[in-house]
Amino acid sequence: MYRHPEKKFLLLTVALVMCTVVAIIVSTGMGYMEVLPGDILRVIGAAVTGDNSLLGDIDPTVPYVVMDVRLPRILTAALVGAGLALSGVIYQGILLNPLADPYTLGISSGAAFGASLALLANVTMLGHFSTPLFAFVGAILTLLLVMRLSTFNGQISAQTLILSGVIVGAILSAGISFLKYLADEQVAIIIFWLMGSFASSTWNGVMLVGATLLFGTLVTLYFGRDLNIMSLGRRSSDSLGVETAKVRKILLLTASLVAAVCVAVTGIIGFIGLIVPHLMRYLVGPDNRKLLPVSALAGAILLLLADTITRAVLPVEVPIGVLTALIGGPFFCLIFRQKQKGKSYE
Amino acid sequence: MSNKALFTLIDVSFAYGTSPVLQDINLTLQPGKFYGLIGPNGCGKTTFLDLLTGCKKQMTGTVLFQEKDLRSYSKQDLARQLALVPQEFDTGFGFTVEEIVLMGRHPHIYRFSSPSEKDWFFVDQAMESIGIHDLRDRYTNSLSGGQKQRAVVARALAQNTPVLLFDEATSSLDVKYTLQIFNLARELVRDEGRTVIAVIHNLNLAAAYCDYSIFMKNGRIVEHGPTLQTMTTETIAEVFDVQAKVVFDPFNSTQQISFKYWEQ
Repeated sequence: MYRHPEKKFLLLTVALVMCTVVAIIVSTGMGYMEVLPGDILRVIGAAVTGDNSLLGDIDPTVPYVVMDVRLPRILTAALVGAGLALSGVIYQGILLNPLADPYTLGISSGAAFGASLALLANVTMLGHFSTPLFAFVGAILTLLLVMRLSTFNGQISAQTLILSGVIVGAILSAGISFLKYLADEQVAIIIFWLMGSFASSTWNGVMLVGATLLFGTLVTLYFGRDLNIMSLGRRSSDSLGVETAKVRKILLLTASLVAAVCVAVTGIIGFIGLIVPHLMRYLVGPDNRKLLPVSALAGAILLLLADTITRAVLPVEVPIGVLTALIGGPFFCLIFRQKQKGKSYE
Repeated sequence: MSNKALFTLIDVSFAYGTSPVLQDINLTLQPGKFYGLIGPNGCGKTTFLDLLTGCKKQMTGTVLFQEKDLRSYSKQDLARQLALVPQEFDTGFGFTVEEIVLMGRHPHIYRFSSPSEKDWFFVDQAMESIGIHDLRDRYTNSLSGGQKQRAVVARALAQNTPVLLFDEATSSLDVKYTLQIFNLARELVRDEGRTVIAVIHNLNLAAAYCDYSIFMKNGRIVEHGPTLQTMTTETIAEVFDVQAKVVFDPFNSTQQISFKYWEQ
């Protein structure tokens, strides 16, 4: 779109892709049992090609540790990080509010309420998928309710959307507290799930998040230019040929789908969706077609790093949601202060 | 297209909830003219423009654009015909002036295509004619109100449409830039046969530039027709509740309005 070739953007994208790959391989090697990068590549190669001669003289427990324990968790962390960042970009772009993320719209609370309900009622009819499914249904129902609440004369306004999200989110939080009160002995399970964890990640989870993320990325890139123009406000974007109401609905649904799947698979992980798009906007500017891929990559790296710290560096496994909030919160305060000083990009 | 009516509004009304904003609007607008939309604050002028751009849908009645129902056009089709300069616009997340002006080409660029030479030609020409070429790399959120407004006018020019709608497009501009934009609009009407429909608060500008004036009050059209005939002491008194004298100004050879400021 631009007259000057965007070397900076290309360099950044290539660098981020390389960082992601390196981060995945290095973190796979870290943990109770150290694995060399070369061995990891050979194990992955053997698993992909089915050629077991690649394994050679590697300790037979290594393929199990890499393929069944660590990689599902690491890939889930990376994909969820990318997904949360992606939904953050969309929410911020549509709501024109740098504070918008799955929380603001009550999506996270809806998912958490659904999951708490499943954990409390001890629903196991669908095996491991019960909790994620309940979380997903909770998120989607919340989204529909919030969108319904904020629709007047067939149009959704950004302000009422955030207000409705906050109201519904507050009600749901109270509901979660009530469920915790009822939970008695199971309260620990609910609390731990709410704080977010990758410990029980599976390949099924990886596939689920991966497919959703791919879908979300394609939809968002398709509407990337429209999303840019929508930042001028409804009246301008309509007159520039953007079907604002339609595109807004599609993108909100897409972002919420991605966020709901992420929450459903891992519990609540905050601040990634908020901070990553901010940071990347400093680097590549406001164009969503650039912001989207770099934010997804950066989100993947950031969450993977955070998960590796809690998994392999810290002596005890701190819930990932707590860690991202502890690191992200102060960082966000910094950004907020910078903005107040007028040094911001906005 | 030349003898087709540009817009035809038949019994159009619009309301927010139960409070009516526009009532019983019947009007035909012809192409190739400079129209002024005049009336007190809150009389429904902006809503009127919104109905013409399809941003809002009328509750009752019909809006025809080139003798076809406005609703049958896609947003993109309309955006190739109509450009709007809104009263105010969100600056979003700091795009540059050039990027904002290039957005005017959006309806002309296919999805996933890059802007062509032609698109850049219109962008450059628009920035050149408004005189904001030197601001091209500035971020819109660092601009003054007037600079922003000129950037939006440039965006509408880059859109290169036969019809331009101005919603108080010069409200935050000083007299030099106000005249620059009005003269530009006048040239587009005179030399290229385009149509300008402008919400104007300054009655003297309306008297000087508009071929036709549409006077609105409380959501209704009070008077419309050639400016020379409709811009009268009586109309101004009826619409704005102020005393004014319409005089011929030999300096410009146009009508001008002189207001009675206080009782002598």
